[in-house]
Amino acid sequence: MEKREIMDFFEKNKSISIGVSILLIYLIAAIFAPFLSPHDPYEQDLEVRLQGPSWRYLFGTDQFGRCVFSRVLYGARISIMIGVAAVLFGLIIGSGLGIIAGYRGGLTDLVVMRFMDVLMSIPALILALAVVAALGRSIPNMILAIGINALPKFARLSRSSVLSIRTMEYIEASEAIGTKALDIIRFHVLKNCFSPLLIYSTLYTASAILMAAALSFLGLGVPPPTAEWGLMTAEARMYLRQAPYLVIFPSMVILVLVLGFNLIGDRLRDMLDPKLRF
Amino acid sequence: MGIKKYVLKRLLWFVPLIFLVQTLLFFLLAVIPGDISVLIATPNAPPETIEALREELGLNRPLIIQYLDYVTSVFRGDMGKSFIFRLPVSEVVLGRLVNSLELVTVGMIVAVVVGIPLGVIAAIKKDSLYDRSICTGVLFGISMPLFFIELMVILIFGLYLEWLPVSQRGGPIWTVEGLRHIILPSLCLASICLAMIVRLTRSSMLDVLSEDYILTARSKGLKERVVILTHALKNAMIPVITVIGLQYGFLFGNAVVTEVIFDWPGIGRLAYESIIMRDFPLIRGAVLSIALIFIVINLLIDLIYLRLDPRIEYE
Repeated sequence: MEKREIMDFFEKNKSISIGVSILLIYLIAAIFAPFLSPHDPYEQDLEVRLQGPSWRYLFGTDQFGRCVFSRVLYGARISIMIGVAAVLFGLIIGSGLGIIAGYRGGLTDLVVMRFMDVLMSIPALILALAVVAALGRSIPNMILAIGINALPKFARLSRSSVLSIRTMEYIEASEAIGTKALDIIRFHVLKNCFSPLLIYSTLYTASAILMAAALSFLGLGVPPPTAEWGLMTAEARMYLRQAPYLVIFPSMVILVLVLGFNLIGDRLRDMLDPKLRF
Repeated sequence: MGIKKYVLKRLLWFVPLIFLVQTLLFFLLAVIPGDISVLIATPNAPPETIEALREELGLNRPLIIQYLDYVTSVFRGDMGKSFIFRLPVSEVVLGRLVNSLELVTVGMIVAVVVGIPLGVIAAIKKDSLYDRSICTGVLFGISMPLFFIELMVILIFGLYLEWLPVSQRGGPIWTVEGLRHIILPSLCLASICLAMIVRLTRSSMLDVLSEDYILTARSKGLKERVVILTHALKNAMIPVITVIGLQYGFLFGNAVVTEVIFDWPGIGRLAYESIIMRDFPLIRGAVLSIALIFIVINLLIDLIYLRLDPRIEYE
């Protein structure tokens, strides 16, 4: 695509442009947090505790006198990392399993898909809570706990895509001339399920970020004093009446990031696959 | 296949499903590090007390025996005894389950009653100001962290205006206190699922409205009201209803947050607290009963779905 075409694309798709701009701003905040933050996010100063927003402290200070703005900037690192990593986990393992199940059929299909049914029968947040409780509070365990919930959807999407092209003549022809199964998957299957997987990945990143925030809010996410948005909100709960901005800023920051992913995902769905319903 | 045979088949599938959920839960919890009996015993308890406690709770047996005992006793209707409450798990779980079901169902009803008309309006007036504002609202609704909505609602309606209570359950829902207590938490819970229902109703209505039979109905000279309400809406509801089943599970999961924030004595909070306190039998009992409810609701929804759409075959 030429530069011109790319510009045209963004001009025509306002919601994608807004979504991408939001993501870029967050990425910049995450990468350059040490340079952009006016204060050390972990430095306590009890002299200035619970101060409202001011020029010195843009988002005010929390109960330990830490700068909320700096903490929010650093929080972007964790949320984006967890959201993206959880989706990658779900995408790779889930669609891998789905493709194998669809391709092999028979017992493999039965076992894989029944396992997915089991995962689906436990509500997502509860399964995530149980996983984190079992494995301990850490970022990798949160990624696993959230990613696990994405497995069934990715597996089903890729499996149905395999099933729908399995009987096509060009696949039969390809098999007849001796193409290896792996190559058929690589050239035909993945191409076929690319757009539903892309759309669902974008939308699931939004859900993953919300779920990570909920886990941290419940005290089963990253341990304190980490600067994480959900955890910051949970700690601010006790000062709700006194300092509502402590709840509002981190939550708004989550809202806008999730909105960014949803804007992109929705528009992609309308463009690539309007029949999809998620 | 007849409907009876279909229901029977679905019910039979419950047994392996429950068994698999149990297995998953058991081995997931078996990897939890640390000695549970040390946590339950009073601080500085002598080793003999802890040993006796381990014996009493059956933690000294090999893992595989514990597992077999757990799996078989659940099918006999015994979910074990809670470490913390020292009561049968089924006793602790049942009341909490009813409380949650109440909260989630009220939330779901609100979401359906408000969501479907909004979705229909958005679809009929596609691209109008109504449609745009509804769609924008939906986008914000699905992007908003639930705890944010809830804390803001508590702040505004509970702390500033002092209109409604913001913690605990006030009793059965048919009493004034019960109703007053359920309003705020159920509305918050409804808000996250409302967005999904509005969006789905809208897209489903738009699909249906472009069908030929709608054109036929209109060209017969039927009133627009009749076309929308009887011809279009009835067909547009089919995908919406299947999603309601899935949304129930979504609400049950998110109800953990609501129940913790509003101090609602439900099963989600019980599951959460038992996870924090590492009360294994209670965690398993709570999560298993949530899974069970979820499976049953989905079966019921599928049956409604089959009734609504005679074109669908039981398979």
